This record gives sequence, structure tokens and C-alpha cells, in this order.
Amino acid sequence: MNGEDSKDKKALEETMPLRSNLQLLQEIQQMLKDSSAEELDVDALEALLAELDEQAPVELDHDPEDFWKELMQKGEVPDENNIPKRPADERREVRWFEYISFPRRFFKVAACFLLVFSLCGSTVAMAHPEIVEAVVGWFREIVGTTTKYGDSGQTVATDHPAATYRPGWLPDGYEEASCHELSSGVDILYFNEEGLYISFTCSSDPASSALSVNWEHCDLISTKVGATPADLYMDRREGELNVLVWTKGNTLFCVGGMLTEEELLRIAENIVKVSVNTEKYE
Amino acid sequence: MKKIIAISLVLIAMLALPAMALETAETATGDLRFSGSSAICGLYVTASPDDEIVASMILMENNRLVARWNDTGTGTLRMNESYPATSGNRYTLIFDVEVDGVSLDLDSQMKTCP
Repeated sequence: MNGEDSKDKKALEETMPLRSNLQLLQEIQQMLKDSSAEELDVDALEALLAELDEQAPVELDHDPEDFWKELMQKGEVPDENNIPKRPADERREVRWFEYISFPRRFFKVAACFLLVFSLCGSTVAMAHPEIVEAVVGWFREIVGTTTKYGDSGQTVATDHPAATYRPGWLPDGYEEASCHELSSGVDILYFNEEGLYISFTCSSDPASSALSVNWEHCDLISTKVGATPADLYMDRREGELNVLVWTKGNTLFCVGGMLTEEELLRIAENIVKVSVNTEKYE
Repeated sequence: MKKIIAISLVLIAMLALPAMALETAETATGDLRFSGSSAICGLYVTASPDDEIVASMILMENNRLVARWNDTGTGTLRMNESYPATSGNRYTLIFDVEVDGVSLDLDSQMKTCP
């Protein structure tokens, strides 16, 4: 009989709905309230706690954050008895900076310092004459495979419009064939006996001159003439035009020819300041 | 499927080759200045030795076309023209450059005669 009773009890327990967490907690609370320390049925308490442990975590039908957002949007005051609680076993998402021992305030202070440093740096940079010249002189714009060098709209008047530049070194065999004065610069063409040519253009007046370089199927390489950044347009095929463009101060330089990268850079690094007499070509 | 991909790649390469043969680097410099009572208009184009250059300059005086110059060259082209300018008038120089039939975009220049 006892065996049958225990089977019936087990079957009954299986068919009975499980008590909810709330019911279990209420029972535990009631037990603790009603019993003194001596009277407390420790076995029963342990059984209830074990059952509580076995309970599946409470699944809310809505997210607590959504609940609060909805209330905030509606402007309603939440009912104290209906505030959804976060399930006990739900893990809070740990943000990346919480793994670092620095407090979050450290990052805020660092960001503030960075902002102040950037603003001060840009202000100091704009007061520096060379940087101002670089910014307000020529602008560079790439449209598709064409690079345009033109007026930034804040041109600084040049002090020496008659002074200009020319190459101080050229590969052997090149002779000056034509020289044309620009607004504040010069365009010189050199030829050799094989009919190959080098063009040299410089201009210190972006308000009056414009340069365009079409470099489709060429490589645009960032290089340096001394310490000055420069654009190198390299056609890898032999005998085709390669071009080097750079600005120094308020002056734009452009050297083009059937030359190697080394030759172009050598010409660029040996530019000399002179006064050019163009009358003999006119 | 592999054959179709292979044939497509060959066709693409064949179409690309002529374009690569035609297109090279080229530079164009446009310049407008005043010397005495003349407007000096300059256009200086440099391309590869076999490239055909066709260029023209159009000069506008207060939005009225007053002069047009055309020229052609192979490899390089230097155009340097003058026009009698009137003090106070605004002049705009427009450039039209084609290298091997491909247009090269060069910004126009606008200045007022001092």
C-alpha cells in the first residue's frame, strides 16, 4: 500500500502545476515569520529552497526597459505593484570599458584634453606663416582621374612677381626651346635631340593660373620633394609622360617629361630662383 | 560556366587594352594676365609624344565673346595670345582641351583689367 501511495503521490506531483517563484517565496517568508528559531522546520525550508532553485527563470513578456520607455512616452506614473523586475539570473551586459580598471571619468577627462589640444593646435597652425601660405594659396581637388590645382579663394599677393624659378639640373642633352611668362611664373619647354621634352611650369598666382593633370591609367603616388609633400603621376610604360607636382609656399611647381621617378625628383630638388627674360622667345 | 567566365575576361581585357593605349598622363596650364593694355592668354599642354592635342581658348569681355583661338599639336602645345583690353572690364578665359579625343577639364580664369 505504501508503495502504491508513494506512486500516486509522485504521479500527482507530476500532474500538478509547479508553484511559481512568488508562491515559493511567499511560503518561505510565511514560514520564517511564523516559526521561531527553535520551531523552524529546517527540512521543509530546505525543500522549498531546493524547489526555488529548480524553478526556471522568470520570463517576462516584455522587456523592462521597454516598459519604462513606454511609460515615459505616455507620461504615466508606474504602479508600484506592476513594476517589472529584472530576473535574478539575467546577466547585465558588461560594457567594454568596465573591463579596464580606469574609471569612466578618466576617458571623459582625456577626451576633453584632446579637444582642447586640437583647438589650440589648429589655432597656432593657422597663425604660422608657412602653414597659412599652404592653406590659402593653391587648393588641390581630385575629380575622377583629373587633379585640379587652382585658387583657394584666399590668395596672398606675391611680393616679387618678377622673380621666378627654373630647373638647376636637367638630364644631359636637353636645351631650352620655349619660355612663356605667366601671371607670376613661367612655362619652359626643353627638348633633346631625340625629340623628347621636359616641361617646367611654376606659378605664384593661383588667382590667374590653373593646372589640371589627367592621370587615367597612371599611378598617383604621394612623395616628397625635400620635406615638401608632392604628387607623382607615373605612367609605368617607357617613353610616356610622367609628372611631378608640388607647392612650396605660395608657388606651384609642375615638371613633366619622359623621365624616371629619380630624374623627376632630382630636377625638383634642384630648382633655383631666378629672373627670367622671356623677350628673346617672343 | 567556366568557359563563359573565361571568354568574358578575354573580352574585357580586349576592350580595356585600346583604352590603356590611348590614355596617358597629361597636364594643362591656363593663364590670364594683363600687360600694359593687353590681356595675355596662355594655354600650355604637355602630353605623351604621340598624343594629338586639340585646344581652343575663348575670351569673354563682360560676358561677351571677343576672341577665339584654336591650335593643334603633337605631344606638346603652347598657345600664347593677346587681346587689347579695356581698364575696368572683366575678362574670362575659357579653355577647351582634348588629348587623343579625350577632354581635359581645365578651370576657366576670370580677372578684371586694372
